[in-house]
Amino acid sequence: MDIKTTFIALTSIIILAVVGIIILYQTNPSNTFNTNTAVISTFPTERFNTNTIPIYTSPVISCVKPYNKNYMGWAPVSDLRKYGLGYTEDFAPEYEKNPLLFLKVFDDIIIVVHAKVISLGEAYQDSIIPAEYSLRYKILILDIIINKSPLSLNVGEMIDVYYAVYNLEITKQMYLSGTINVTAPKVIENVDPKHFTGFIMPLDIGNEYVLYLSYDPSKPLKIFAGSPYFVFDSKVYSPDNVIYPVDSEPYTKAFYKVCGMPLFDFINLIKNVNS
Amino acid sequence: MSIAKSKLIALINILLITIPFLAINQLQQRVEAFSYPVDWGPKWRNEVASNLKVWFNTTLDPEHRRHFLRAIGFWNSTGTLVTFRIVNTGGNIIVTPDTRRDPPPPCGGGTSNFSDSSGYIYYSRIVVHPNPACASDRRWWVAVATHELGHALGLGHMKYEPYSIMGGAWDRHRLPIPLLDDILALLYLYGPKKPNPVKFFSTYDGSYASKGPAELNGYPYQLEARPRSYSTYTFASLTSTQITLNFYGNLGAMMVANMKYIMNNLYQGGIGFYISYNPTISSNTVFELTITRFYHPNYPPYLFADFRLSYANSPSNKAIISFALETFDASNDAAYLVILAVFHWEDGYTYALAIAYKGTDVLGYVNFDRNVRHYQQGAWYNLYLYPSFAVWSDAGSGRTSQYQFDFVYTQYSK
Repeated sequence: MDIKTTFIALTSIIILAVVGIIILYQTNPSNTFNTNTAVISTFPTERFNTNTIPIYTSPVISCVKPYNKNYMGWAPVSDLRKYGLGYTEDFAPEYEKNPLLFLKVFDDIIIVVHAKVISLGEAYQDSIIPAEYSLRYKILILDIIINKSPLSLNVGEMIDVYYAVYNLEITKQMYLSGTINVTAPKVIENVDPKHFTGFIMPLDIGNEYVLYLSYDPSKPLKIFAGSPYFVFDSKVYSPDNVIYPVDSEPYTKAFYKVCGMPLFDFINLIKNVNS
Repeated sequence: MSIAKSKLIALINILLITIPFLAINQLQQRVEAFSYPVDWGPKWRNEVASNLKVWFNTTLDPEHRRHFLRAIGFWNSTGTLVTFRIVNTGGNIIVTPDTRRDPPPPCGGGTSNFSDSSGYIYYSRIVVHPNPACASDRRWWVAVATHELGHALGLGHMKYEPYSIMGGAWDRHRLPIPLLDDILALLYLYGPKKPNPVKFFSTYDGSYASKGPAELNGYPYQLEARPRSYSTYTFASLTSTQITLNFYGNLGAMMVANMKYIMNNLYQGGIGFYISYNPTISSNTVFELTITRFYHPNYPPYLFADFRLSYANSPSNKAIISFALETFDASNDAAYLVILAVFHWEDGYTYALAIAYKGTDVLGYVNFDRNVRHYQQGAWYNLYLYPSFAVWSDAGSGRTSQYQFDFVYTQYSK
């Protein structure tokens, strides 16, 4: 085989190898899929009885390293997996296309507030799952962002809210016994944070949060607090510091940390999404 | 060396390089198709999976409850060991709305599986977010219900798998039902359903009770027909308390399942079975299933719709056949109809087929011929059927008896 033939052969191999690799990469969907990118866009109304959400403000939605100045020492979220809890979550495709949809309130019983956590009270076992508890917090309302509910809340008011968590000791008992028929105390007076955690880590005393409150209309005095899937607090999160345990990423894929945006803009964003 | 020879060598090189890449590419696609479910979790113990008790929280919206009942019907019709039952309290799986956690409630669902230190699931909770803004798309909610039940069974996501309700089945085909890869996954996890005799019972309340045809008036129901006996029976009568299914012909030579009487008495629309096969599955065996629509007042009877499967070289001479039909809108005569047919041969070959109809329009069509050596498909026609049912048949064993079928039906909320 002469040099020319060898050259042609090698060139063919190289070109085809490159083409082949490109083909392979193009057919691998994982290279083109990024769930962490928030896209501000309109979405079809096929599934929603609402019009397109107008968005005028571009948030910066990337906080790789959450910083929590008042972290109370909650158990790592990964402990839930350790004790056998698997969780999968499925949202309408519109949410992936436009994660800002998570900010939208579709139900009048949802109240959105900016609040500061003042204190932590008891933990109440209140679920068919023995390990599931609700932590009672006292929060100070700093701003009412959305309230279409009949519930009257005022700025400066302190109210009790409940936050869903897992008691790891009970979770462990369930895990070892292979049943939900385990005994769990109905009330735990002195909450030790290292025995509890949640799908999204519980609230910490002294921090400010944008909270989505809800309640059972038949029990309006018991208000549940949930972290919105977007979490904003310029005083809590900073991209440069980490205090949370390593394995404390939220147990939900739909979680976005909003950083670098003034609180005023973030509140306006929520209002815009819900306008 | 001449230029022509150089070109020839280059061409050979192209082929040598291209073919492996194409092969790798195809292999990758096959792996993607077969790797489902990539993130599946623990499974239930088989003795539990064959009798999974589902409890609907009383606060669950009746509409969502109905979606889940439909989804349960789908999973129960896959021919796998997995069988859901509805109970009034307790149970292994709870389906509940979530008004407690993480408001605002988004549009969708979530499943929490609790597994023990041995790695088996012992409890599962399915949460649906009763978002009023997205409750209008009923078929999508059925897909969500089917999907979440798949999670409860231990199946994970397979985002790009088009033949899986845990993957892209809904986006690709608008089919809210388990498809072939789901069934294969369940077969891998739990194995096939055993065609054991079962009692006549209502899965609505989990109690065993005889139900008469009059109680089937309304919409919608799920019907399952299961073999109870392999002895010779003659089903000459249909009483008010028992549904009777007439079969004509002899198993092993030809069996015809005629559901005319049932459909004529219960619904305007009707469908029947025409099943025939050779007594022994051999290299030339043809399994034929013909679906017959008849007794609709506006249409001439006995319009046939059939597909034909040819199957060769079954070493076991046995087949387990399951077949299910489902409708989505019984208030409309041109109703949605989803057909899922799954054929499991004991030597591991699996056939499945699913079709979605609305009237004469085929909304979605998926047919699977994975691992099928010979596969032929006939024409499908417009079908009208309100209840759904499943038939498990032990074929090829040389029995010449007729089958008696008991019915399992689920009464949905209207």
